[in-house]
This record gives sequence, structure tokens and C-alpha cells, in this order.
Amino acid sequence: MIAKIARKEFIECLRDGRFRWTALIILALLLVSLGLGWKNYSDTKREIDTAQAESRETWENQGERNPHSAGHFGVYAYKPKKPLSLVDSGLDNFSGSTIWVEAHYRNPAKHRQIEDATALQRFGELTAAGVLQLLLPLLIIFLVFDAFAGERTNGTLRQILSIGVKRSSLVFGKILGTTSALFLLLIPATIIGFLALAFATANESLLSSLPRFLLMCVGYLLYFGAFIGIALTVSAWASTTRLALIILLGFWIFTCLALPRLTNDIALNAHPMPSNKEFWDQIYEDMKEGVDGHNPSHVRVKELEEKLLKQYDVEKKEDLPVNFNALMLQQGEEHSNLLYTKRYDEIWNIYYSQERLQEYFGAVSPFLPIRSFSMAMAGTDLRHQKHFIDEVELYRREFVKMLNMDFANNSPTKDGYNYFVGKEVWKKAPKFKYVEPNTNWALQYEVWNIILLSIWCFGALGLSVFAANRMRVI
Amino acid sequence: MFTRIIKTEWRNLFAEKSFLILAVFFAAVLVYGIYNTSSWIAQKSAENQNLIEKQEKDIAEKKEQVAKGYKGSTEPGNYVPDPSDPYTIGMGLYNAVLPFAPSAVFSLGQSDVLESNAGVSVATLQRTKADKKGFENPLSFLAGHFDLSFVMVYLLPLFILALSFNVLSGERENGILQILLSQPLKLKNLLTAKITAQFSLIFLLVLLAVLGGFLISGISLSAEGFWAKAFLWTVVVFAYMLFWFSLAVFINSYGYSSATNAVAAAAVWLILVLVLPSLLNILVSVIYPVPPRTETISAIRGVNLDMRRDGKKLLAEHYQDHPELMPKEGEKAFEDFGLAFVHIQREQKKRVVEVEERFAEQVANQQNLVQKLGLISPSVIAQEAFNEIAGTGLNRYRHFRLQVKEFDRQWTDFFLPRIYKMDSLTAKDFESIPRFEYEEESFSTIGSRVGIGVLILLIMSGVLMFLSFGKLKNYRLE
Repeated sequence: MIAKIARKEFIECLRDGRFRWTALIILALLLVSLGLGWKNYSDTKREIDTAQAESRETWENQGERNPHSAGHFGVYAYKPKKPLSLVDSGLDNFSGSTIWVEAHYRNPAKHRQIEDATALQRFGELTAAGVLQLLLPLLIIFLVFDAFAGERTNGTLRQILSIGVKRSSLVFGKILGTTSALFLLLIPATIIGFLALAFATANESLLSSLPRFLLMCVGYLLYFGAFIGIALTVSAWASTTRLALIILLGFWIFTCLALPRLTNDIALNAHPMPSNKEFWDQIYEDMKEGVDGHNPSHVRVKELEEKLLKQYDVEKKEDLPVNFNALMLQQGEEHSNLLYTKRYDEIWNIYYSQERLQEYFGAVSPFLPIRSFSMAMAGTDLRHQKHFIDEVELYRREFVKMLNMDFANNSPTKDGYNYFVGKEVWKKAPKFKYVEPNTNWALQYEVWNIILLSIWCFGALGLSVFAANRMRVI
Repeated sequence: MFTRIIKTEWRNLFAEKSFLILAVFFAAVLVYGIYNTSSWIAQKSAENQNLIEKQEKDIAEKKEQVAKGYKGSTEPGNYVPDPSDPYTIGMGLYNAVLPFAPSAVFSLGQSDVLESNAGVSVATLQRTKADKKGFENPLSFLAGHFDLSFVMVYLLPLFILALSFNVLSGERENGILQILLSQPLKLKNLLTAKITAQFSLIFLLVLLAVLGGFLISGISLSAEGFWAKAFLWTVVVFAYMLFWFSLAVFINSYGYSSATNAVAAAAVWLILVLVLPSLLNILVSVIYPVPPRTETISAIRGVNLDMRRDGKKLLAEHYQDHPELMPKEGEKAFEDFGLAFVHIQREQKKRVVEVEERFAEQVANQQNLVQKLGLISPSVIAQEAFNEIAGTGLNRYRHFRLQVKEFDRQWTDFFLPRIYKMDSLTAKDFESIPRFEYEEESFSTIGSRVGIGVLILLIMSGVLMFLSFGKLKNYRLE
């Protein structure tokens, strides 16, 4: 019986002009967005690869310099584009992609694309994820809103039930029918998404992206399941099709449109950020007074001097065989490394608090958990950005230390900064190579969202069975 | 007859519980949007105010130190620059601040993305706080904000469509239409009266709610130029509402059932508000692609000069070209490490400015194109107009950047010669250090940019109405 009902629903969907047109438009939008995502991915990847190579080349050919001057010249680290960003570009346009790696400063990631765009960008970028998260639920609503309410108004509901069809079969049939119709759209979209991914990536990274891609698909299925369940429930409960449609559209507006903005502002107010100036004023204060305010920098310098004089058994620092200036610089680095970690983590903890607060609202909106989960799988969320900037910071320390130690060990203090080296030293500097974290790493932060999505999906589908069992027939 | 229908329609609406709920809900959302925007503005303004005050305090402090003859400290680990050295302030960072317009509450716009303060310095900004920025949570850009313009651009059309999607089909399905038209009444007039009734009610609701929102949020309504902008805003809202009502009429004129009308209205809303703008965005960035930002970096690094290595040579060349800038104790200058740094920074700045200008030009091209192409989408027209009125869009920001550029020149003209000549600033010199003050765009400039959009909205509404009235001749009453 379920199969029969499902088939009837399925065929009805296909014959319905509304479904055909909406589905076609959505499929077209999906294709366009995947194509754009693919182009964007390959363009950016090319740019970044070139820029990264260029940065290294400039570095190696900077000519003779004092290693510390070279530390100020620095190199640049570029955030690689993630293959799955072609499906969900997430925060890519809103977060910095370039970090200037130099001595003394842990620079923030810069060059957010949104700064070079017009206000149109704020209407939302056309991405596959956007289509799946915003438009597909609408398609589901249009498909399902009259599932029961329509049959009731037409009087067919009474007839069906009078011939002994179980209400639960009716629900399962409807779920199955609608889902199959949706799959007509989703399967080609998935295949094309997968092909785009395969074309965009080399074999190696395709393999590592595959689990993420599959998990993403599962996440979206749960999300769509939630909307099918909700739509069926409302359709069973509402007295007229019109009421069902209005309630469902209202729900969509609330969950997909209003709530993300609302929670964003609530989160920003609940966990305010320091301004840029406050942040750096604090850093400079820390540098001068010490991380905990107990060992100001001139005391630290004095201590280092005494320690070195004792170690090398000399009277004046001018007699030191190593370069005191360089060691003082390195000491400064070691100290600032601590405080940068502390202050940057403070900032990121504010981000995470804001994010968490938004995620709590996922209990009233399936849109929020799927948005987070999809970004996380694409590798375009906050955690991945933090991973990138942390890796760059580790690299920066290694890079600067190598330069300072070369300076310290190869020139005596009395030469001051008159120590120049060239290419052979620059070549020895470490290279930046970013390795993306694996799927498990990304999953560990997504437990809450996965639980929420599952509850939404199975809860809503369960509710629809419950609602159908209790619905009025006339 | 006309007024009687309007009155009846009002009575009907007030009798309908769902309308009242919707109206109260919408008014509440409007008020919240205003409150939210104004608290954002207050927070950002306080930050800017703070920045300016600290900056002024710092200059005043240095002036006092100079008057007392303080020369700074060179003790290792406790370095304090000499306040009378023009290098100290000139090469440092001065913040030029773009204040919010009094009408900013109408739209938060791009004010979260576009920095409201710009760094000014003789040097490049590369090592200043102005360059080490971007600590906003990226997540907050993704969703956008719940501001007044969001409510007006996205939600108001939905409210209008929810009210008017069955303006005719509903009457027909209830069987009232036939009865009504048995009176000496034309369908055209009935429709016009009903729409007028709904329109006036919502328009009044919006105005009252907005006024209430202003009062609750404590916005200063007496600020200069506020009411002129408020009037402009009202005109845009009027035209935007007219468009959506005309659309509802147009949908109804096809004579389909209310359910079909509802789906059609929702679909059209979706296409006009969500899909079309993002397609336009793609088009704009395809026509005027912004070059990759990596070019800025190449520009800075293209000037591969080193103070320690190239300093002396550079300075010698520099003073050969500019003998008038030679300090009194000329010989000393060639030894001076700081001056070489100044010279290198100036070279780099030249390149950076070139690249920055190329970027700015491309974004400006995009913006100009948006203003033209955007005219095909009512929601883009409305959003652009609201940003324009609020002064939170790209145009006012460009106006600001132009002034900053001019100010940067003044700043450099004041400090650079003094730096090269190694003069010391006297307490009197401090009084003539230039300060930045933003000058607003004229109302007529803003008005004319907004006016085009309004005109297009009115034309669109007119065309829709005209087409609908044509179709109404064949409207089936059963």
C-alpha cells in the first residue's frame, strides 16, 4: 500500500507544473552555482600557488641583509582554498586569507574579499550550499503543503481512509513519494557536484575530500527530512491548504531568514569584541610590562645580559662571542609568542562564544545547524580558519627563530647589526606548507549540530506520523 | 462608493484577527530593527569618539612635553621617542574618522565592513594598527544584521503580499465579488479602492512604528538634516510599497485561485529579493573583476630596499635631488638610520597608493554598474537607496576616502620637509598640525541618486498596474 501511495504522490509531483518549474529553476541555479564555485576554486588556487611561490622567490632573492632586517621583510602565508568550498564557500569571503609573517608581530589574516565588494554581496552569494539551505526547503514546502490539507478539502481523504488504508501507510507513502521526487533533483545535482569536485582536485585531495563530501550529503538529507516532516505535520494539522501554506512560509521566513540575523546580533551583543585599537593597545602594554605585568621588558633584558656574561665568563657584553642584540630579539620573540597566543585565543574564544550562542538557537531552527555543519565539512568555518592562523603562527616562530639564531651564533656583540648574509641563509629558512586537518578533526566540533539535525529530522518525521494519526478527516 | 469600499475594507481588516496579529508582529519587528541598528551605531560611535579623544590627548601631551623640553628616552627596553622630532608624530598613525550620519539608523548597510576610520601617515600603514586590523568575527558578516533596512527590504514585501495575494481571488471564492459587482461598481474601481485601503493602512503602520522606534531608541530627531533624509526615506518606502502592491494586483489579474496566487507571490518575492540580486552580484564581478589582493603585496615587496644596506646611498641621492631639504648639519643626515627608513617608506607608499587606487577604481566601477543594473531589481533599488540615505553605503565611503587622500597630502606636506631637514617641532608648531574633519555630501547629490531608483520603482508599478487593468476586462467572476 505504501508503495502505491508513494507512486501516486511521485507521479502527481511530476505532473504538477509548480514542481516541474521550481525544480528546474533550482536545478539550474545549483548547476550555475557549482560552476561558479568550481571556477572560483580553480582561479583562487592558481593565484595562491603563484603568490606563495613568488613570496618565496622574493625572499630568497632579497639580496644581502642583516637576518633581523630580513625578519622584518618577512614572507607571506596564503590560505589555500579548500576543494569543497566550491559547494559551500562558508566564511571564505569574510575572513582574511593572507598573513604577513614577520619578526615581532603576529599579524592578523588580511584581505577579506568582502572589503572589495559592493553592497550586493550582502544579499548573499549564490553557492550550492545557499541553494540547498534556502531554496530547497521552499520547494519541499510547495510540494507538501497540501499533502493532507488538499486531500481533506477535496474530500479524497475520507474516501482513502474509508477503504481501509492505514493512516501510517498514508504518511509513509507521502514521505516516500515526495522524497523520490526530490531525489530526481538531488541525484543529478550530487553527481555533478561530485564531478566538479573531482575535476577541481588532484586525485590525492579528492580522496581526502570524499568523506567530507559524503558527510555533507548526509547532513543535507537530514535537513530535507526535517522539512518534509514539518511540512507534512503542518499539512495534517491545518484546516485549510491556505493556512498550511502560510504557516509553513512563516516558519521558513523565521528559520532561514530572520533567525540567522537575529541570533547574530544577539550573539554580538552578548559577547562584545574589543576594537582593533583596544586589542593592539593591550598587546603593546603586554610587551612592555610583561604578560602578567610582573616582568617589564627592561628587567628581562638586564637578566639576559647577566646570564650571558656569566655563561661566557666575560666582563662586558661587548666581549660576548655571540651577538647580544640577536639574543635579546629572540628573547623578545619568546615573550611575545606567549602573549600573542593569550590575546589571540581571547579573541577566538569570543568568536566561539558567539558561535555557540547561535548554535543553541539551532533548537528552534534546522537552518542554523545545517549551515554550521556544512561549513565545517567544507572546511570553511571558524575552526578551520583558526587552524590555519595557528599553523602560520607556529611557522612564524620557527622562521624568526632561525634568523635570530643565525644572527646570534655567527657574529659577536661588538659588531652590532653589521652582519650581512645572503641567499645561502635565506634558502635555509623553513617553507610554509599548510596541511588541512582531517575529517575526524572537523567532526569533533560538530557533535551538537549533528545531534540537532538528527533530532530535527527524525523528530519531525515522527511528529508527522503522530499528526496524521490524529488529524481530522473532514 | 469609492470611499465606502475603502472604509469597508478597513473595517474588514480590523475585524480580522490574523491581520491584527500580523500587524502587531510587523510593528514590533520594525521597532526592534530600529533599536538594534541604533545600539550598533551608538557602540561604533563611542569607539570612534574614544579614538579621536585619545588621539587629541596624545598630541596635547606631546605638546606639553615639548614645552617642558623633554627629549624622550633611549634606554634599552624602555624606549620613548622624542616628541619634538617631527618623525614621531608624522611617521606615526593619525586616524581620520568617518562619523555616522544622523540618519544612519535607516540602514546599517556596509558600516560593519567598511572601516569608519582610515589611517594617515607619512609612512605606509604597513606597521600601524590601521593595517593590523580585521578582528571582526567573520561569522557576523555571513548572516548580516537585523536592521531597519532588512525589515523594509525583505519583510515588508512579504507582509504586503500576505495581505493582498487574494485581493480579488478571495472575494471571488467567497462569492462576494459577484454581489459587489451587481452594484453600480466597476471591477477596476473596486480593486483600486481595496488596494488603496490596504496601502494606506500599512503605510501609516510603518510610519507610526518607525516613529515609535525612534522615540524608544532615543534617536535625536533634531539633528541637522535628519528630517530631509527621513522625508526621502518615506518617498522610497512609498514607491517600494507601491511596487509590491502592484505586483499583487498583477498576480490577481490572472484570475487563478488564492492558493496559486500565494505560491506565485512567494515565488516572485523569492526571485526578486533573493535570487536576482545574487545573480547581479555575479554579473558585476564578472564584468569588473577585482584583481587578486596578492598584487598589493607584490607592490610593497617590489621595493626591495634595505635601510642598513642601501640607506646611505639613497639619502645621498635624495639630497642631491632636494638640496632645499638638506639639514643644517648635513653630514649627520647620511648616517641617520631613521631617514633612510623614511625614504624607503615613501617609495613603498607610492607603489601601494597606485595599487590601492586600482582596487578602489575597480570597486567604484562595480558600484556604478550596480547602480545601473540594480535598477532591474526593486529590492536592490530599495537597499541601495536606504544605504544612500543612511550614509552607510559605498558612495559616502568613497567620498570619505577622497577627503582622506587629500588630508594625507596635507599631513605629509606638514611633516615630511621637517623630517628631512631634521627640524625640531616647537610647542607653537603643534598648533598647526592638520586635523581631519569629514565634510558631508550635499543633499542634492544623494537625492538625485535616490531619485532615479524611485522613478524606476514608480514606472515599474505603473506598468504592472496598466497590464493588470488590461487583463481585468476578461476577469472571470466565478
